[in-house]
This record gives sequence, structure tokens and C-alpha cells, in this order.
Amino acid sequence: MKLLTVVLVLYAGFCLAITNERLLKLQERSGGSFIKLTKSNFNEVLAGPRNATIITLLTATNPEIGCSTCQNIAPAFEQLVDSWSLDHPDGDGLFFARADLAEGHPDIFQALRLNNVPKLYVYGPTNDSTPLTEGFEVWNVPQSIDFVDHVVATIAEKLGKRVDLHQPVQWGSIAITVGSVMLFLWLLQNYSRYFILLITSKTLWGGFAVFLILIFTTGYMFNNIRGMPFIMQDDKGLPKYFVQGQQQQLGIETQVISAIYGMLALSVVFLVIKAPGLADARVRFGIVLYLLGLNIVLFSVFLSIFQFKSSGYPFHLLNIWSPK
Amino acid sequence: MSVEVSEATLANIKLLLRVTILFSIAAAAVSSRLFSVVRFESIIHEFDPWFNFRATKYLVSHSYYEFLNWFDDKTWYPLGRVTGGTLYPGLMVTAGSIWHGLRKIGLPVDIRNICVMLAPAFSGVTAYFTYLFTAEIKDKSAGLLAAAFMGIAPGYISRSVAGSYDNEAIAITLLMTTFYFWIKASKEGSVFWAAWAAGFYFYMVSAWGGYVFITNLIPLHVFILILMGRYSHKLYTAYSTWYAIGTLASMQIPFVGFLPIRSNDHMAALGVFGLIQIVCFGEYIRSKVPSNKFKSVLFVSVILIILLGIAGLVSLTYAGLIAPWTGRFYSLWDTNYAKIHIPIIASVSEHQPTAWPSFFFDTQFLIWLFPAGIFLLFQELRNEHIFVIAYSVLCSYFAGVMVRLMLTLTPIICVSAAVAVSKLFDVYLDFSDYLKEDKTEKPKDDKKSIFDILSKFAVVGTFVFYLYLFVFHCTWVTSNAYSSPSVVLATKAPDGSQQLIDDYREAYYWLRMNTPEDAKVAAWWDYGYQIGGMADRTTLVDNNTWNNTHIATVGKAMCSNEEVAYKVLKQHDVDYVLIIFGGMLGFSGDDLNKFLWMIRIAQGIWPDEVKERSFFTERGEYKVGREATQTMKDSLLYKMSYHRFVDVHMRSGRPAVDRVRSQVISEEPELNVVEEAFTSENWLVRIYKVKDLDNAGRDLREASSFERQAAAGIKKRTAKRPALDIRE
Amino acid sequence: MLSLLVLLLQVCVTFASSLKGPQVLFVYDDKLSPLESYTDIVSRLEDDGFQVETADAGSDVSLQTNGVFKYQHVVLLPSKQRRLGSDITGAQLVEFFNAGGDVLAFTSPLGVSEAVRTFLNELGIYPSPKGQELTDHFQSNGESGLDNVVTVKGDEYSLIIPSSDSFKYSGSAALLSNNPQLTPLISAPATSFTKPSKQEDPWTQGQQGFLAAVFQGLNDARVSWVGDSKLVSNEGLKQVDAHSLIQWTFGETNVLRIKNSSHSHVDGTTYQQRPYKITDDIHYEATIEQWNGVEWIPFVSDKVQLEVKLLDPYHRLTFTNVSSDGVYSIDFKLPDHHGVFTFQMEFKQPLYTYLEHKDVLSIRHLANDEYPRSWQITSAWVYITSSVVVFTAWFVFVLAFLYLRDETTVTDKKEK
Repeated sequence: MKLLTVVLVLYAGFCLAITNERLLKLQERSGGSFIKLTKSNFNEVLAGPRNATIITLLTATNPEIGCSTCQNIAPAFEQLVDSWSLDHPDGDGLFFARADLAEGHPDIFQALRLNNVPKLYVYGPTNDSTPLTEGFEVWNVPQSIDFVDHVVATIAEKLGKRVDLHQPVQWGSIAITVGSVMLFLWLLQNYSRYFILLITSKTLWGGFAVFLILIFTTGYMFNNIRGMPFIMQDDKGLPKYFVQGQQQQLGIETQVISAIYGMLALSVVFLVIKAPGLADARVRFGIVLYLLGLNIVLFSVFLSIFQFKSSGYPFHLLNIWSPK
Repeated sequence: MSVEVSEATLANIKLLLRVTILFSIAAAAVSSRLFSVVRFESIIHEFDPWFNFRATKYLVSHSYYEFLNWFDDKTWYPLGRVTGGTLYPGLMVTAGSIWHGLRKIGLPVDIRNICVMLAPAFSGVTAYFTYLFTAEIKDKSAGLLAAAFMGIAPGYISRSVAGSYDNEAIAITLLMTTFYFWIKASKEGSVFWAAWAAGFYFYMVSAWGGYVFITNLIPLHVFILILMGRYSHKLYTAYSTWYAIGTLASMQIPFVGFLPIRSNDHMAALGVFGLIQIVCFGEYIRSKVPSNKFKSVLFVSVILIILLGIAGLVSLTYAGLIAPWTGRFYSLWDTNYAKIHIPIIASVSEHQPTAWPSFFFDTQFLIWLFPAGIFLLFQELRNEHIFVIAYSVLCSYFAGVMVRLMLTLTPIICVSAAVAVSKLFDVYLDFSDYLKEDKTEKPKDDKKSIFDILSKFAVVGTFVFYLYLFVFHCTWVTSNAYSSPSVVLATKAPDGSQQLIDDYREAYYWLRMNTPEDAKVAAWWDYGYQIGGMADRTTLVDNNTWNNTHIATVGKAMCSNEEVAYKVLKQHDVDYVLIIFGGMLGFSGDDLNKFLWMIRIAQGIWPDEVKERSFFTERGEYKVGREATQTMKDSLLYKMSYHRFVDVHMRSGRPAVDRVRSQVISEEPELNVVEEAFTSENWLVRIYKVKDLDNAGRDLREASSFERQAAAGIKKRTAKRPALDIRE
Repeated sequence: MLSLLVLLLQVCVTFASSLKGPQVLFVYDDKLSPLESYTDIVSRLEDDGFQVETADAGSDVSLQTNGVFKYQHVVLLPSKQRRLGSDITGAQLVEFFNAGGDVLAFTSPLGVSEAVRTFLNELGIYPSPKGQELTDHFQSNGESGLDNVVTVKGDEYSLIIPSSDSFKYSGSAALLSNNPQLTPLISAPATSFTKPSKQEDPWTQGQQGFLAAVFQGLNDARVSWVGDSKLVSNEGLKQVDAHSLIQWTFGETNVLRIKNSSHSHVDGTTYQQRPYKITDDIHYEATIEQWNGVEWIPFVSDKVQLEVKLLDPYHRLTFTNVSSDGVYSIDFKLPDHHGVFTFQMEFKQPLYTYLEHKDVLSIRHLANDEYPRSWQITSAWVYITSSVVVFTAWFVFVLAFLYLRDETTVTDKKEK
């Protein structure tokens, strides 16, 4: 409410400010519905005086930063600004700006002394030429998918402006869906023999079931739900494949462990099915020993990994390799 | 050399061996669950078991009908809880029957001991039914292996140690029993076995909410079989019997009531029941009218029926005639659902996803034999194998999403690992060729060559060693991870000696002995059952989280400033507030660490009054001490946690550091509306008494600041004109 | 034997008409309010059976011995002295009051002792400071020297004098807070104000000021404050009979109690015999008695209420059925909601003892066999009929299937 009165007062007393026309131009130059903050323009846009409210998203979508929230809210932010600029081509006193570390320009972040993102800074209209480190309000950035709803609600509450959200029509995915369905039906029509062969294949189904079991029992859902990074770096910048702790894991661990499980299981399956059927006794012996050796080695490595994950676990087989 | 042994004798010896082995397995299963009794004492563990124990005591001291209609006025004050109608009575009735039975035969055993020992006793039964189940899947030797695995696998022990008197303790037994009878019924098409399956299904429904798993798995099995074209009259008989009897029986449990025909969780079973009638009818028609055209007509009509069924289901759900999926069930599929919509479910640590080390921790090498076993089952793919496969895939997913469902996955891991090991041993432990007398001189080339013997010994030796390691692993895990009652904490003292921290019981006992019998205690819901069970006092909320608003009320009282909190506490007639504070001891599971959930749940109900954001610093950190936000410092929980904290440290000359959050507490919070009543030895439990309204009608902050000033000898010297409101 | 009789007689005589006890401490100030001017009131107190101990404010009198309060009632006359007794402070007076002690306090423009002011401030009474005297130029018509004697009306409760009468008042005035436990008795005339002696703002102006007020704690301890101590002086007693103010303050009048509260089913079965369930009809009954200085007599009022509440009141009933012997009774239906309800009987009126009686009772839901049977619900007849029809049809079908099929196959064969 207070902000609103300030807005009104400022509209009355027009002064030397960054004009809305200028902001519109900058927005056009950024090639979209929001202003991309760069090294050259950020001071001009964010330092007062100005007539408009500028909602600034400070984010870092580059994958090496590992900010999952930033990545999650990126499409939501675009949907929000697209909706606003569609209904308000002239800006209507509300502009959006975004500084993304992925686009370079760390200067902005240094100037604001930011050490964590994402942030929503809202610069209200002002008469004074405030530096960009002052005169803004920090809005809460919700972690989850209701980012858009939250920001829309906050805009309505604090700025008194209504944002009508437009769902972007996803022509691409519709086309892909329709195309693939058509293709599938066509294949079904012309190659139904192979299709039937395919869906009645025991091995295929068996492999599929085993595959599902392998990824589910190695924390695939954990990665999905927790949004774990695929891989991490240690202090020296070297890749880190395993993190310690029984309740923690990285994305790559699922792949490594499911591969180990898979090979262990495969060695047992071959020992049961294939090995006894071999004709030559020596070959048979060699294969059995090979499979068994593989089994023992893999299990030893696996136990070492597990020991690394849960410190204090007392059992191990051969000391072949262990992380760290 | 050759001693002639008759077939009958051999069979008898086998039987004797099997019985001996099964008894040894049962004994091992029971005894490996007794660590906690030996180390601590015969005591009920954790949280939920305390409620079950309390309910069982009520059952044995009242009649069954009184238990069924039990209105519990000591919880959820002042709403009360229709306990009889909102619990699964199976566990209590089981324990109660055992108690009555033992008394009948002249063995009056304390009900507590029965409750403590129930889970280990049932684990022996589980092992036996796992044996029977696996014997149906493969053969009896695989059954023995599966039983042994099941007996000692930590994944199952985690919920069935002595003292863990929870629904799961008997539910896993019933799960295996129901599945065994179902496999038996579907194999033989027998009404008799199907009725048994339905009977145990009913028992399962009466014991655990997880019965929905059976309700969906058996129809899924049938559905897959129909899709594979394996429909038979046996299947029809088994499923129709099971569904009809099982559903009718399950509706007799008051808590379940009409759910089987109203809730989406149960619609799959109903749908498959309908489908199998149609399929049966189609089969009948086909047997009467043999024609090729019929097949395609049948196919189209089946598809149509399925589509119609789904459309009907969706429209009925929209119309509100069928209840949508329950939140807990829903959160299994849409993993973000709980995080956003139901903080109370997301806040429970059991509902967190599982990282891979947990799977290995709970089943050791069975976890990689598990896919091998499944793959081997695909080689044969009998009807019952399809059941195992469906179970495995579905439950792997569930266990990955929720830690607690690891429990339902463990049996099938044991079964299919046993199948794998047993198949391996069938090949490599078979020395019969060498023992046979040479009747046909060297029939084939080198079946008995030295290489074969060596490879057999190598494989068998390795796997026997693995099994040996498995036993050690299980014992170690059970002893180290799953045998703590969590009511008593064990830590290592600086000198390395074992130290028991018994603050919980100390505090609960204090409550029991020093407060009026009708005192109302407000505490976060985690401790509700324990307060009810150990302190026997009325609680506001407990672990049966049926009323979110009431829980949010307690959350609001904890996270609001004193003035607001006092109003809430007074409105609910609260006499004492109990909090857990780990900052002195370094116990990380305390209320300040659960605080965010309290705030979130309260915010869900009062978004205008409680804001999560205001508990975080500008930089988005959760801080106590100097950097804490004002809202944080004003909150009642914060004040109660750090009351006297600085003072005590000052006296002993140590810096006032919170040992959980590793932050320095600099100022002593000012506490006005409650007063400290009790603090346990290690400060783990702190109990505060809610002050009465001020006799002179002042607000309590004024009253206590007046008292403080008087005690400090400060007298108001100046007579300043007060700023008063206009008199009404 | 005789001595015993004497002792008994003495006990009877010394038995005060206040239920709390007979011990009164009467604190005067030789310099401002000498005891000689207050002998009448002291003797009247003694006539009422109180044991009055008089003490000068400058003496080393104390409220407590060994941490126990010696008195049940205290009269405090205005005092110029800096201290009050040996250790009587505002905080101690608050403690005395919280322990159930009654206080009758007077202030005057010449003397408001620190302790009394602190104590009264805690209750929400803010007497004008030293030197500020109630003045009304309009009443005196400009005659100087007389404008500090103000004619004021009595109070509506007739504790000092009935509101129809008026009397001469000269003393201090006070501001009052909005505390609901505080009841103002006499307000200052609209044309009056407190005249400061120095360069100060007046403490009260017009009807903002009050001249007498009473306060009752939640523990039924009572406090009265009057800004003019002459009301109880030998001289003043001739003008105004403030006796009823003293009687009220020391708990001789307006003292009530609830006796024999009970509740049961309407048919007389008690809760213990048959616990209540939803929509039961309940009969509630209680007696309210009043202390008349000698014995408990029935008290009749139409403002007594009963609340049936679970967080919020589900019923708020006024007792309309009151018998002349003070028995209040009411019948009501329990709400259709189970839970732990509080039956709360309440009477909270100014100047009367706050009466509150709570019964916390659990009201259970219907048990499994208390719902109506299916055949008693007419709309269920459709379903009952249909299931019976299905049963019968199934039975007939089975019979037909089992016994008619053979014949048909036989006929089939015959036809072949």
C-alpha cells in the first residue's frame, strides 16, 4: 500500500528518470519480454531515478553451479514475463529483468555482493538516484513449482497489478506426440508380426523387469525426488563420484551401482544357465572360474564402496579398489 | 558301500531334516531379535508402539465391544479420538487373545511382555510361511533358504525386534500368509484355499493399512495373466472367491468401512472382478460358438469395457461419488505431491526416499541376487512366477520412494534370492553323479572330470562363504542399528564407556508423579503417544495425525510470540508444554530442528499469521543465537529452548554454544507466559507450566516484568501520567 | 468449665462477619491523618468482630511474620512519610493481594505514599500525584478557598452513598484503566479538574477523573480506593456512611458461592452410571448462596449462565428456572458432536464474587449397536428387497442349473 502511494506521487512529479520508453527499448533489444541485464546496462536500469517497478530475477542456470531451484524456476519466469508483456505491450509501469550468471556478467552479482541465488529484487519507482544496492525489496523465492502462483500473488498484493497467466501452447510437443502415435500405428499395421514377437519375448520382458528393479534398488527415485546432482567436484576440482553417508548419494552412483549389481546378477545367471551346458570340460571350467572370479572381484569392490559410504562397516573381501 | 535305503525312509529323513531346519530358523529369527531386551530391558520401543500398547491394555481391561466403541478422551484434547473406529485392531486383538489364552492354561503373563515379544514370535511364523510360499514357487530346498533369509534379513528385523510392537510386526507375516494361500488357490483353482487367502486377507486388513498393497497386487496378477491369455477356470474360481469373501470381510473393520467400494485405492480389485466375469462369460460363449470372428469381437468388446470402466471411474470420482486416492497413496506416484500439499506426510522421516546404501544395508548380497532370481524365473514363467515378478517390480519402485516400504520389499528379495541360490546349488551342489555306483562304465565323455569337481567346489565354496558373511552382516546390523529402543539413548562417554541417556523416561515419570491427573500437556505430535503411554496424561496431538488443524494449532503456539501463544494455549486448557531440546547434549532430533515443519504446517492453516520466510535470515539461513531473526527470537519454542541456557553456561565458565547447531547463544530470552517446571538431567526434555491468568488482570508480560523489577529492588520513583485508552 | 465457656463466648464474639478472618491492620500517619480523627471507624470495625491493629506509617510494622501474612485486611490512610512500615512496598502489597488480602486505600493530595501508588498502578488506578487537588471553579462560583470542596453524586451501587444523594468531596482524583475487574464508583464532575501546584499539566480533566473505585481480583480479594480519607474520619462519618464500602471490601457482603452443582441424564442416571453420548438430554442443577455476615442464604439472579463448550460454546444458556431457595436448574440437549466438553457455570457481575464452575466431560459417539437397524430406515427397504430378490433368484437359478440340466442333456441325447 505504501509502495502504491509512492507510485502515485511519482507519477505526479515527473523527473529525470530512466523512462519507460527507454526500458521498453532495452527490453526489445534483449529480444524478448524482459530486460537481460548485462555489464553495460545494469547500472542504468537499476539505479534510480525511475518511474517503473522493475522485478529483477538474479539467477544462475549454468549446470556447474548446481542450483536446481534456478533451473526449475527458469521456464516459470519466462511464462510469467511472456504473459505480462502479451497483455501489456507498453509495460504498464512494470518491467521484468533478469541477470543470469550463465550469460556471463558476474559484475552485477559482485556489485550486489550476492553469494546465493536465486533472488528476486524489486526496485520500486523512486525520485532519487539510488545506487543499485539500495532501494529494493527482496521477495521470497519459493523452492517448488508454485513459483509463478506465488509471484503473481505477491504482485497482486504489493503492487496491485493483476497478471493473467497464459499457458504457452506447446506446438512442438503436440507435433511430436501426434507424429509418434501415427508412426507407431503405421508400424503396428505393417509389421504386426514383429510386434507380436516383440511383446511376447520372454527375454525382453525379463530384461526390462530386471532393468527396472536394478535402477529402483539403486536410488533412482532418490535422485529424482531429491534432485541430486549427477556428479560433484572436490576441493581440488577433481570429479567426485561418491559422497559419504548412508542417506546420501549422487546421480552417478545409481549408474555405477546398478552396473555392478547387474554384472553380479549376470554372473550368477550365466553360472546357472550357460556354464553347465558347455560341451568341453576345460572350457566349462575356465568359464566357471572366470564368472566366479568376476563375481568375487566385483563384490569386493562393491564392499569397499559401501565401506566408504557408511564408515564403521566392518566387513570386506579383497582390497582391490576403493574410492579415496 | 551301497546301503539300500527305501524311498519311505528317505522321505522321513528329509521330513525330519526339514522340520529341524525350520525350527532352527525360527529359533534364530527369534533370538536375533532379542538384542534390545538383553541390553536394555523388556520395554516398548519408539512412538507408535506406545499407543498400541496403551490400546492393548485398554482391550485386556475392558470387553471387546467397549474397545470397539472406545472414545479416547485423553488424546487430541478437546476433540478426543474415536479410537475404536480409527485403528486397525488386529495387533491388539492378537496380543489380547494370546494374553487370555495363556491365562486360560494357567500362565498369567504380564501384557507388556506379550507385547514386547509378539514381533519376534511372529517372525518365526513368517519364516515358515516364506518357506511354504517359496516351495510353491520353486521347491522345498529353495523354501528353506528363503525362510532362513527371511528370518535374519535386517530389512524385516528393523520393524520386528523385541519391543517394536507395531502393526508391521504381524502384518508381514499376514502378507506372506495371504500370498501363499493365494498362490495355492490360483494354482489349484480351489475355493478352499481361496477362502483361506480371503480369511488371512481379512486379518491383514484388520492389522495394517498396507493391506492396500495386497488389494492391488492380486488383481494385478490376475490382470496380467488375462492379458497373457492365461485365463483359466481355476483363476476365475480363486479370484472370485477371494474377492467376494475378502471384500465383504474387510468391510467389517470399522476403520475400513465402505472404503472398498468407495475409494480409488480399491477400484482396481473391483474392476478386475468385473473383468474376470466378462472374460468368463466370453469363454463360455466361445466354447459354445466356435468361430474365428468371435475372437476379434471379444477383443474389441474387452477393450471397450476397459475404456468404459476407466471413463466411469473418472466421472464418478469427479462427481464425488468415489473418494479420490488418499494422500499417502497419492504421494507414492506423484513424488512432489506430498512436499507441496501435505507437509505433515513429508515431515515424517519414514516417508523419505531411499538411497542405495539402505537397500544393501537391509539385505546385503540378496540385493544383487534378487534381479538374478527374477531373471531365472523368467526362464520358466509359470503363473506364480508372474506374481513374484509383478510384486518385485512394483515394490522396488515403492521401496525406492518411501523408506518404510523397504519392509514389504524384503520378503520378495528373500524369495527370489533364494530361488537364485537354490538354482545355483542345484547345479553345483549336485554330487550325485560321483556317489552313484558305476553302472554304466563311463557313459559319456567327461561328466565327472576333475575340472567339474573343482569348479563345483569353487562355486559352492564361494557362495557358502557369502552366506556365512551374510549371517555376520545381519547380526552386526541388527545389533548396531536396529536394537535401540529410542526411548533410551546410548552414547559413548569421553572415556569410551557406554552411557545411557534416560531423559525421556525421567521426564515422563516426572509428569506422571508431579502433575494433576487431568493435566493437559502440549507437545509436538511425535511425543504424543509416549506421553499418553508413559506419563498417562492428556495430550493435544499425537502420532495418529488425523487432524491437521489441531497439529497446526500446536505448531502455531510454538512458533508465535508469547502473547499469541498464550491465547492458543489457554483456549486449549493447556497446563504444561513439553519440548525436546538437544542443544545441551548434542542430540540433533530435537524440536528446534523440527521447527520448520511446525512452521510450515501452521502456515498451511494460518498463512497470514505464520510466515516461514520470517524465520530465515536475510541470507536465507536458519539461525539461532545472535543472528536469528526477531520472529525466531520471539517464538515460544525458541524461548523455552534457551531459557537459562546462557546462565548455566556462564556459571560454569563455558561459552554458551548450542551443540546441535554449533552457534553461540548470546542473550537469555525473556519468558513471561510459562514457567519452567522441569528439566531433565541432560536437558533433553524440558517441561514448562503455563501460568494462570494474572490475578489483577494485567497481561503476563507486565506482571512478570513488575515482579522482576521488584526482585531487583528497582522502585518506580517518578509518577508519570500514564497513556491510557479512553474508558469505555 | 467456666473458662471454657468464656473462651467459647469470646470466640463467638471475635468471629468476624468476614469469612476470610478478623485480622485488620490500620495504618495511619500522625502528621497527616492522625489516629484521633479515625477512632470511630476503628471501633465500628471492632464492633463487626474485626481485630484491629493500628500502626503509624513511620513505625516498623510489617505485613508478614516469617513469610506468612498476619492480616487478612489492610486499611491504608494517606501518608506523607517516605516509607510505610518497616518493609511494606508496592510489590509486597501486590503479593498480599494475590494471597487473598483485602486492601482499603485512601490517598490525598497531601500524601500518596510510594508503596500505595505502585500497588494501585498495578491494578490500573492512577491517583493524581502529590499536590494535585480536585478543583471545580464552577461550583464555587469564583469564591477562592472553597473551590477544592466539590459536591459530587453518590455511586450507583450505594457503597458510599446512593446516587440520588450527593456529598462534599475534597481530595485527589485518579485515572482508571480499562481493566474489566475495575469498577469505578464515583466520577469527577464535568467541570472539575485536578489543579497542579507547580507548572504541570493537570492529571485529570472533567469526567476523565474518578474519585473512588473498587477492584476485585480473580481470587476474590478486594481493593477499594477513595481519594478522600475524610469519608471515614470521625467527622466524615457523620456526613456519609461509608460503612457499606468497608463491608464490601472486607468481604462481608456480595460474597457468593456455588454449592451442590450436579448434572445427570434427565431421567436421573448419573454420568458415572452411564456416560453421556451425543444428543443426550441432560439436567444440570446447582445452588448459589450468598453470605450475609452470619450465614449463607439463597441468592437469586437471572444473570447466571451455563456454557457447553468445546473450544467454542455450543450452548450458552441462561438459567431461567430459579427457585426461591437458590437452586438453579436447566435441561438441555447435548450437541450432535462428540468430544471433551466443558460445562461451565458462570456469574460474573461487578462487585460480586466471580463465580465459575467447570465440569470437563467426555461425550462419546454412538456405539456400533446404537444406530437404527436397517429395517427401521424406510429408505433402506428398496435395497433390502432387492438383495432378498437376488438371493432368491440365485437360489432358484442354482436349483434350476443343478436339476434341470440333466434332463435337457437327456432329451438332447434322445433327440439324437
